[in-house]
Amino acid sequence: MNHFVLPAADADGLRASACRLAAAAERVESSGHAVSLAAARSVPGWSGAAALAMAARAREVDLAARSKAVGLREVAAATVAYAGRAVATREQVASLNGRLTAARDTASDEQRRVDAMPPEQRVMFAGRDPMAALRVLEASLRREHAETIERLTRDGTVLARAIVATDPLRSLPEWLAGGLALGHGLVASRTLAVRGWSFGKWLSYARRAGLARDGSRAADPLLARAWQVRATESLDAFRHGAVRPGAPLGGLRTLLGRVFLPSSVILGAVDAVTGAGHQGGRGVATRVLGAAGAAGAVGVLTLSNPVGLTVAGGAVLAYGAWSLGNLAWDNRKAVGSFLHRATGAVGSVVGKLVFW
Amino acid sequence: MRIDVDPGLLDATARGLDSGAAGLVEAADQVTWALTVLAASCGHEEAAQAARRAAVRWRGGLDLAGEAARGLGEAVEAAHEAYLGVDGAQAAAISGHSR
Repeated sequence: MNHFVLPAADADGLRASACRLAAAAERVESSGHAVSLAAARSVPGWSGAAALAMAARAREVDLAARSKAVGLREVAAATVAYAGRAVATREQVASLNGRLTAARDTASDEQRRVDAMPPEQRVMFAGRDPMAALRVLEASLRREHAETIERLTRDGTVLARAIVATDPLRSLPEWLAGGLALGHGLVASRTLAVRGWSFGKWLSYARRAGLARDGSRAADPLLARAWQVRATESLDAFRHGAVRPGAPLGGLRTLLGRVFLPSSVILGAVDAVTGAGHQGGRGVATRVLGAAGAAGAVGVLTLSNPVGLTVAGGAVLAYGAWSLGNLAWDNRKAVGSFLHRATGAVGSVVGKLVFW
Repeated sequence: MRIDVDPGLLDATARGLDSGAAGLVEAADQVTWALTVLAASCGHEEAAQAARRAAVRWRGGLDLAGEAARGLGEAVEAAHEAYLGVDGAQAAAISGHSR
């Protein structure tokens, strides 16, 4: 038996995330309060049904924000408790390793002393086997180690439950959560496809503009300008999203379109550092693609030369596709449950229609 | 009928609502960061998976709350602009009548 392995939990990372969760809780609460306060201040100078409806809606936002802040604080508290347990466990395991090393050294020394004795003296130690005593001690330390790790695992389960308890969708059955995950995946796929389409159009138009401007045979400044205008429009759609005027949920879609690249920078940087918690090859791929996606998103927002934009845009799309694949893989069981239930329901309806 | 609204109040309300909306959207980023780091640091598969799933859902929930507040801000701003138009028309009508 080698030394006991220290637990994988990183207390510093856990404490940092608890601090950020507590700060986010403050932010959520103060923002909800700001919304409610702004509406309340306005209402005395602006009466009528619209003012009352606005005040009621603002109060709803405030109440939802307060409830979310409570949930975030609970997760932060559970995370701090788990980080404390992780530190204590590391210290206990280090202490066990120290005791193990000392016991091994003592047993080896004693064994060497016994081996060096003449046979007539060795008879006096016949009933004492240093290595057997060491094995007994090792078994006892192993039990102690298992109990220590068990306590940490129990606290990890408590943390997981605290996160699930504050999850807005905790009360949903697996198949319904799978349906929502499928919906989220389809929306993300569509976003990625639309961005990929805009990026492809930009590549095509930029190439045609270059040919019309610099082509030795058919240089045409007017045509070059027309292609350039289309290329600029496509690049703008890739950077900020394109929402038709009057489209349903236009405000939300415009907002989500604008946060696509900035959020790729933040999420890509986080994935580059943490690997999104995945181990092995998946963790390495997540780190590499996260770093590429973050750098690519910065490049798309800041660069203007075509080669740089091509590389940066490709990196952003590759990171988006990888994240989408991770989402699908992590939710495959719930989505499978949803599809199974949905096909069962459709089959039942079809069966009734056919055999009616 | 004369409409009498304090335009400064409407403008301040719109700005207050917009600032609250921006705060909620920024908080969504903070929560996503924190839960992703938590998933990577906890060394416990069940907790890590719960944190990764919750990060996606929290982000969606806070983004929607931010969008609701932003929608209110836009509505108030539209009301503010409409009032300025009505106020101008009232002033013109009153001065025309007094002449």
